[in-house]
Amino acid sequence: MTVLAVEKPERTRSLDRFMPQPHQAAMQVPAWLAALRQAAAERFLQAGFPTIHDEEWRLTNVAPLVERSYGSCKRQEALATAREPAVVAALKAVDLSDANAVRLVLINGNFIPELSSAAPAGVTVRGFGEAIKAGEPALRNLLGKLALPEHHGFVALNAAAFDDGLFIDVAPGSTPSQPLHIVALTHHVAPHDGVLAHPRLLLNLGHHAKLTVLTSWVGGGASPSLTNPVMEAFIGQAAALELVKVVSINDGDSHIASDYVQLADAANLRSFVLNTGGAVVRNNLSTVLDGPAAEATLNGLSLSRGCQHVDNHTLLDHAREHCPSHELYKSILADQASGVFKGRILVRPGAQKTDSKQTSKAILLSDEATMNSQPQLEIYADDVKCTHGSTTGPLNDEQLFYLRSRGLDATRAHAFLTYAFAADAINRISHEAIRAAINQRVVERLHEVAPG
Amino acid sequence: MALLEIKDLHAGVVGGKEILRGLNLTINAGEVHAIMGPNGSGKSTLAQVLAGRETYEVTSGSVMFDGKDLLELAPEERACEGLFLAFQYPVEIPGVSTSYFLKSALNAIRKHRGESELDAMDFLKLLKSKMKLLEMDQSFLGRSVNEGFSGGEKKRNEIMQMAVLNPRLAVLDETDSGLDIDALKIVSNGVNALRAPDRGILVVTHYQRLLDYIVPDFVHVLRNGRIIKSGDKNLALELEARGYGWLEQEQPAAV
Repeated sequence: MTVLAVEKPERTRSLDRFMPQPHQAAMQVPAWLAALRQAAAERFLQAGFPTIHDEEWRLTNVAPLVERSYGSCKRQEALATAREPAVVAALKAVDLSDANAVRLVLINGNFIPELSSAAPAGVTVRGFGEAIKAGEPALRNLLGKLALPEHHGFVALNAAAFDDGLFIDVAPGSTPSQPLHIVALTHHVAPHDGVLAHPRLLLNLGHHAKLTVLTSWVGGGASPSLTNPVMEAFIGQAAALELVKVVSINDGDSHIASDYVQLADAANLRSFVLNTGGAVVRNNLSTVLDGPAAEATLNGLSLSRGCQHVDNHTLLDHAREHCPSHELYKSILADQASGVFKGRILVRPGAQKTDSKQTSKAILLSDEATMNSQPQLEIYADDVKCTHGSTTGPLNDEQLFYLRSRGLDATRAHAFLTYAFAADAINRISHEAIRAAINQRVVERLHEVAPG
Repeated sequence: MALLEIKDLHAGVVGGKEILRGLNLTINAGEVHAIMGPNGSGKSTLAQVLAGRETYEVTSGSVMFDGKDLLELAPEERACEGLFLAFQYPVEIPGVSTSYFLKSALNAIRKHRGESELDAMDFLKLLKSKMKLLEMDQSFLGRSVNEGFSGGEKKRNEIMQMAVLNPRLAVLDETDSGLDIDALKIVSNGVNALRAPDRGILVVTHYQRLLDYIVPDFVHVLRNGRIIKSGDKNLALELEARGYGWLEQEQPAAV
């Protein structure tokens, strides 16, 4: 660090302001975690935030986000915040009670049991502080195993700076019928600066367990906030996880997420992300198919307008043989909105019989909207099937004419096609009540993005 | 008053060459007309122009539909007035269920006619009866419009939609293409069930085969964008036997 401080004193000083102060620690930090955080902090101070000169961040400029000053919000403040009318309203807005969901509330990364429901049988839900006190072995064994500080500065910073997190453990063979609904709110109290939050999630599914998790990222205040969540999920042998994520933060706020999933033998992941809000949204999703016959399905839908920028970066790491993977990302962009999809598929030596299909589709509703779609296939095995396809363009004239020739006016025909385009992705959500809730959110959002 | 009256119609692809070159055709309610002609004669252009496809442009002539200037109307207004086009190549629309789309279309048309909208139950009943007419499986209800349909299924779906929307004038564009004999019979039965004194049907086809099942009142031969010969159903049989060549000697194509 000394060397760097000499070489780049200004930069290190500017990065220092992101480091948590020792007295701020909200939980008892055991030695193993202190070491993990120290290493991450060093890595962050050395590497800093990614810039547009890094290949993986070429199309998403985070400089304006990290040059801003942010406040932080500790647990006690978060709890006080939770009683504010704006927060109560935001929490209600994503009410999924129809789905009989178990609500788990995070405010600025702090788990708030007071606002959360009890976990169903077979599922352990704890804040990190409590999990550490309880000596959860899975926390120690798994935290930081997939999300390495070397990946990029945001992951390193999260590990160095998170002050609480959510630990979810599903016992082997448990298949709770209730989905979990994590409501993750980033909120600050005016007139203070926006908040920089580092939510941390750890999911562990024992063998043959089955779980559905919806995560709603919501909120924001008058000043721009930035949320930097990191999630690690481990899906045990023949276990199945459906992950649905909704980013519907305020238009001034940003969200840089790094999610990691590891699948054991015959495990199944079904993921869906809906992006509707935010100034800059980046979803990094790295999936490693780490056991034979594991299957991953990654889907996404982005509805953007104004100057919004949404970047979905996915990695499907086929580490073992006989694994299918399916990927469909769709975007509807209006105004000057911009979108990025980067889909990397890595087929490692020995991952024979890999069957991977990737599709990215975008509709541009304005001449000024842009979409950048890049597949990246790296194949080191010889008996595999990998396909990818990408289309970007305006609404299809032939389809518009077909609908109009049946009596629907141009506005309705547009609405039908944009919805149809979106529904194709939504319909891939397995959980019925969540699919219906997402569908409702999309219908509302389409009225804003594509008013016809 | 004629149901459809086309006078001296000139039209072509926008910015392209003229394809219809002075076409005249009158269809009265209750009549079934067939337009036959070789490839490139303008059959599909006529169907698309009647339905209001924007990629075609009418340069002169007139089309009156039930006393209204058809060319002034947007495609959806034509549909609401009772025009229906069964497409030669029905487009696939992933994500839109056939039943939801068709219910919206029917209710748009009913609203235009000043009729009350059908509720979900009544619509489903109607839809199921028309699907039965076309021998379509109930599983089509939940499927997206034309998505993954075989050629024959798409054509059946077109005629099923026609039966639901109940048009005044139906234009069938090469509805027989891509059909095997069983599907051809099913589709023809569907069309014949819709023959009615207050409805006109215009069948556009390359082959006489379809006309064995949908027997027309009038047959017209289209060549180089105009009708060069008209007759009854026997003209179609003659064309089948002799081809189109003899007509050219009889009446040289206009340039």
